[in-house]
Amino acid sequence: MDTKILAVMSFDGCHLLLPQQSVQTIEVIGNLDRQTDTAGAIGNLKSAGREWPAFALTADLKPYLECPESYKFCVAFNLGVDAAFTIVCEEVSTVTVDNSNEIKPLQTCMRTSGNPIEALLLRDNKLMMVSDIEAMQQFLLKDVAA
Amino acid sequence: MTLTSAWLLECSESFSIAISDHEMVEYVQSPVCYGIPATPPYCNSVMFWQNDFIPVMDVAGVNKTATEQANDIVCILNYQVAPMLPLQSIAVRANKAPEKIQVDDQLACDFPQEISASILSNIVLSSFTHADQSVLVLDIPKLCSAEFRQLANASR
Repeated sequence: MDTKILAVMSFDGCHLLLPQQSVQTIEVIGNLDRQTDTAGAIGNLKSAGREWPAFALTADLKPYLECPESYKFCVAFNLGVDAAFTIVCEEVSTVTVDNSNEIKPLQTCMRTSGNPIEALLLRDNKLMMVSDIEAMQQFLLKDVAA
Repeated sequence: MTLTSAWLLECSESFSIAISDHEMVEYVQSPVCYGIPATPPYCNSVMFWQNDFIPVMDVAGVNKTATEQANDIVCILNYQVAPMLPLQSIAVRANKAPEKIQVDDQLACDFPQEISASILSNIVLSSFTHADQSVLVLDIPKLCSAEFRQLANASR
């Protein structure tokens, strides 16, 4: 059985899922350095001697310029050996998917070139949006920053 | 004269499409739809139906930059991209419950001018007159294709 563990970042009423194995660190918002050169980011998280640009997103995946007070957690993701990005969120948890059929790919007519959402999952009557690290990195550093 | 039965779907006050019997599955009143970010404005939500997520499409909104989403009915349609491939489903927003009609092939007409000038003309198979209104027959697999999504995106 192909079991997947996904990190769930909840913010603004949406639930964004990324592979748990790519999580580098989870820290509180107070540890965020609010100085950043990355467009669309609200700061940098410093961890393991590296800097991880941090993004606070709306439910439409648009960047907040000012981080809402309810966003309290920073989840930093690794892209292999490279630092990738930090998602700032209201809650962070995990979800275990035992049956990969539960994850439904986003249909062709809904896919756009800049959309990092690749699949959907329904749990406890909540729609969860599944992405992957590469797609999310491209979206944050290219589309959100644009 | 040849009569064919079809379902009339009023997508907006001025825009109706005809759906064949084998494409129409059912209609759902007040569906629970979930918005998906970074998707085309005319197809920016899904509904959970028969253990799957299916796109909810506002066909009348294809030419608009934002959809009103005031309609509270969706019709579930089945389509097949090619023979032997599995059936796929979409939900199409409608103003009211679909109506069963008989289509007379002598009532075939040219596309309305506003359709000829729009990207919908790429997916219209034919059109006919019903109750003094033009009704379009759409190529549903093409409506759901990546090519049409790119066309719609480029036209905005």
